[in-house]
Amino acid sequence: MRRHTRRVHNLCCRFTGNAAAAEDLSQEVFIRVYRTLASYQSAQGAFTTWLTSITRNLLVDHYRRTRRDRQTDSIDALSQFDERPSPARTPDSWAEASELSAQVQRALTQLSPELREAVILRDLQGLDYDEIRVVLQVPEGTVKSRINRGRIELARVLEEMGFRPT
Amino acid sequence: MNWNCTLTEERLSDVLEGRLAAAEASAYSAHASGCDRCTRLVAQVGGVVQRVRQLPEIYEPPFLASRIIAATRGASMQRQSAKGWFSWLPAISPMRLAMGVVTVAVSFFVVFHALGALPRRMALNPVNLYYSANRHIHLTYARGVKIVNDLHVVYMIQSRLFAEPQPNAEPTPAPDRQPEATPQQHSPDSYARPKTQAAPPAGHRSTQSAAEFAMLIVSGWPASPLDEIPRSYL
Repeated sequence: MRRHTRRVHNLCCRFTGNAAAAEDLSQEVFIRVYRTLASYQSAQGAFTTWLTSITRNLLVDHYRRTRRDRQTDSIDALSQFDERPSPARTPDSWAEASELSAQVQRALTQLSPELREAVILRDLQGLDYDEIRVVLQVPEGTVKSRINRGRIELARVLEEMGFRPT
Repeated sequence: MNWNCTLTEERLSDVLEGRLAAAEASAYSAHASGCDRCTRLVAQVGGVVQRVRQLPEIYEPPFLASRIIAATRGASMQRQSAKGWFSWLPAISPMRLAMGVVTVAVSFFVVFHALGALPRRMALNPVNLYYSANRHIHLTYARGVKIVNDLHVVYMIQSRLFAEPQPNAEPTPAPDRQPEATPQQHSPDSYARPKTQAAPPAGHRSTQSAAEFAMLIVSGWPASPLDEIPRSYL
């Protein structure tokens, strides 16, 4: 469980942009996994994919429930993430990277949930197109289309925020 | 194959990830070499994708795992309690139950053996148990009545309230004494006295006995040794 906790927690943090909501959702994910573990069959796919599907479904439900209460430009929520720098980074580069991370996270939360989840699953979680197809329950063509449009939209939002890719 | 800007947008992910077929890749390269828009778009989106993939990993709070374990254990316990009144039965291990019963029985045996009160085989007969319990109940009641009656204070109060006249006392009452109480003022209890005897003045004697009772409370209860239970009761 501990091995998957961080993965699920990262997915919840990047999707919601809120640390407190991500903690609650992470807990809810594993409660649901505990209750429905008997229904999992290895023929359905890898356990990681099944776990990601449950996480994604709860994230979508949470998004729909909190649509009116959502804060799309909340910098305070983003600052609660416990991001750890890599050992190769210097403190100055880490501060700059931290600011860029916050900027990218803010841009991510401005995407629609369909595009946001596609970009997160592909570029952050590292899932391939087939796994994303299983998680999202859509054809592979739709997966590619959403990833494409999500990346273009993310680049547009970041350009409006003054982001310049290095 | 002809390539255009619309195709660049539609196949942008394949362009960035190098998933174009050979013919498509050459068509794209030919188009991109003369199209600043597509070149700028590919560079911009490529930079964003690279930056997103470099986002640092978020560490979960240290209490999250504990919360999850506690929540899953609580969920399983709620499921068990929802199964019905006898949901606790499976939780009792037969081995543990047997060990507990044996331990209790051995403890009782040791205690009774130490007290010298091991029950005889005939004493375990249900009829004998009933008669024994009935006899003990009556014995306990009799002891309680005897204790109450033996209380020194009760005896004093009763003796003061219903004192018998002294053998050397004058039959006629003193001049300062209260007039005789009417028969209706007598206490209707088992200590009824013959009508020929003068009833004690209720007011003065009750006040005096109440004062003595109060003094007894202040000074403490007197020790009243209880008589031993006659062996015939046992």
